[in-house]
Amino acid sequence: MKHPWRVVGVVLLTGGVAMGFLQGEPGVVTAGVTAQLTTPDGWEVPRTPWGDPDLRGIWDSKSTTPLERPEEYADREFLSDEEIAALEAARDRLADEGPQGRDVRAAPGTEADVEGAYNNIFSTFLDTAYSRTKRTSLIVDPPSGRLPPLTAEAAAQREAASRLLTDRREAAAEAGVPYTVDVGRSYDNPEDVRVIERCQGVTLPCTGGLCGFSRLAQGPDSVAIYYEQGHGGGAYRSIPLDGRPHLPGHIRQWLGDSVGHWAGDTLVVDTTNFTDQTSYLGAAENLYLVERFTRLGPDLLKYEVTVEDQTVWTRPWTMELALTLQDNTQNLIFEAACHEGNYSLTAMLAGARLEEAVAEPTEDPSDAATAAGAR
Amino acid sequence: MPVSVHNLVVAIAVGGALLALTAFQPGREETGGSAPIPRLDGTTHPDIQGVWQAFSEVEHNLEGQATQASAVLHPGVSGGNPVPHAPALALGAWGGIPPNAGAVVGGAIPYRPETLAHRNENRLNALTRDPVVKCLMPGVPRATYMGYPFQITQGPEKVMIAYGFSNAGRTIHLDEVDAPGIEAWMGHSVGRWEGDTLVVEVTDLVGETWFDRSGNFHSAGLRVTERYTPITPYHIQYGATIDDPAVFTEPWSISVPLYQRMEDQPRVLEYRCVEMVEELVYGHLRKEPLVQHWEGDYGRRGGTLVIDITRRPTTEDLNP
Repeated sequence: MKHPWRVVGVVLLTGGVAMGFLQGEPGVVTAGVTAQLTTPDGWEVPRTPWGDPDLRGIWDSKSTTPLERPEEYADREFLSDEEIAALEAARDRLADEGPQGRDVRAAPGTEADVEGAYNNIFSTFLDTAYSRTKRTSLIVDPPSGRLPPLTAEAAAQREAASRLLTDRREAAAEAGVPYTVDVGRSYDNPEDVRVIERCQGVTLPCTGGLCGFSRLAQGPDSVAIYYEQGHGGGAYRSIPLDGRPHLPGHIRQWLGDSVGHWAGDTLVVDTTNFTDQTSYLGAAENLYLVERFTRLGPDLLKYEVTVEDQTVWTRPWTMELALTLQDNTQNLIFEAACHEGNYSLTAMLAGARLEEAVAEPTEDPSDAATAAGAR
Repeated sequence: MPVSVHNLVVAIAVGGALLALTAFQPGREETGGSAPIPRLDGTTHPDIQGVWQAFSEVEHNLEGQATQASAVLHPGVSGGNPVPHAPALALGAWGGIPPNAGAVVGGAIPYRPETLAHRNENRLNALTRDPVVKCLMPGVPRATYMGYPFQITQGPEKVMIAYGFSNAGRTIHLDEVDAPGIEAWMGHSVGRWEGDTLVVEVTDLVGETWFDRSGNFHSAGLRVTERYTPITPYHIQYGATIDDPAVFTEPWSISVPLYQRMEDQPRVLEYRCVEMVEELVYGHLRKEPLVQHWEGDYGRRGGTLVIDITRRPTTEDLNP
């Protein structure tokens, strides 16, 4: 694996849906294993004082299960316990011994140093168990465990973007640019920087990675979910349960517009009205989510989400995660306060202006005044 | 059947008297008058779920103030009033500061002499010093009375408040919880019901936030005790006691009513100010300046107004 830290970057930024570097580890193949999340014998769903299923608490959605099923598993939905143990052992070896190991620092100034600046502390999934679903993929529908085909338009856009990046990387390599990780990125304006680095980066569905922990609070009229990520204080999401219609189509929000209802003992949340500013695997303003939360045990919440965007995928798809209840008294969930401490965006832009001033010193004092970093 | 004027007058008078009797019945504070305070389903506690908002101007100045022409003032001519200064001139009457009678119990905040001087200096530089201008989180109690709606999701053990401004929020713990061991902009909130009043102790707050737009400030030693008392199904009397001995000679309190939003199915919509302030916070570091020059044609009453903007980095920007 040439760039394992790109994989980590994807995990961090898209919410822990990739575990790419384990895909080459075949493990012990055991055919015919089936498993489903089940409730313990004699267990009854706890209820709030007003009778709804009790979903309250801090939930951990992190897992090492990849979004898409690795090809080696073909039609197999589930892993055996032996396979999971082998996969986790392989992951631990990589964490301890790999070039990106926890205490290993690349030589300063090398690409590995720049591109691998996040050490293992940032890769929370390395401490995480394989999902309790024991599934070979988070995706449960289509049955292939893989994303459905892109629409022709989305495929063309993705191909063009990929070709552009490849061309720029090759040109940079030929020109002797020492780092390629930044090629194709601009620091002319704050808008050029990724939304997560502008402290505006929260997308739904918010699972895994920086979205690993969420707190769910519940009342008779509404459910609220706090994600420990995002702009400002994190992301607070209020979900009314009164069956109201969605906002008018011209009112768009980064977290969309969520409305919920109880279908039996399952909380169903329907979210639409997203903006074109966020992207979940390429889906933006046409993203439509249906989430289902079902309490299955003392510390187990099944979370299913059906993702639809007819401009990106040729059909809707569904993933399933097993969320694990965390200690409520320890209260280990914090305020993100990303914008409040965002000195890095200032530094990135100021650094770019300084580089320009050094590269192209100007004689004209009016130009100098606008070259913001010149003095 | 025709209604005689006399009968109508009597009916109105009797109705009015009944209304007056209802309004002045003893114990209104406790019972919410004719409408009882609703209870959270399955509990004995008041139901405070929903979208709430302070319809108050005290966000401008907790101690109260007369109308002011602008958030940023030029001293004006000798003998005249201050006039709006350059950053706000074009806003005209949109940009005026409404008057308010204040929310501080007893009228004045009991600053120490040296901290009062700092407050006054803050006030003169409020536009550049108030953290909220840069969309930093407002802290507690300011988030409550800024004038943006907020949603309360209420359960027996946790109450979560999601504020419209900056998507700030917090969880009020009514059950057992460990201290966080770390400061937060919105603090750490532990609550309990005292009768029908939700009492919330807020600790572990950062020292950077302000109480209003007029420079009223505190230190990291701030402790806030909030009191949410429903007075009708649609009103909560909100009180906050401020305890910060490093800044104030004694604890002091504010009192502000909160109103339930009465639209059909109200929502707290996103007010994503991080995005809104990007030009203000980072505009001086763009490769090509964006906001530079503006002309507004007001016609005969105002002429043409030209505003030129110069942006430059501070030495702090270049030596982070």
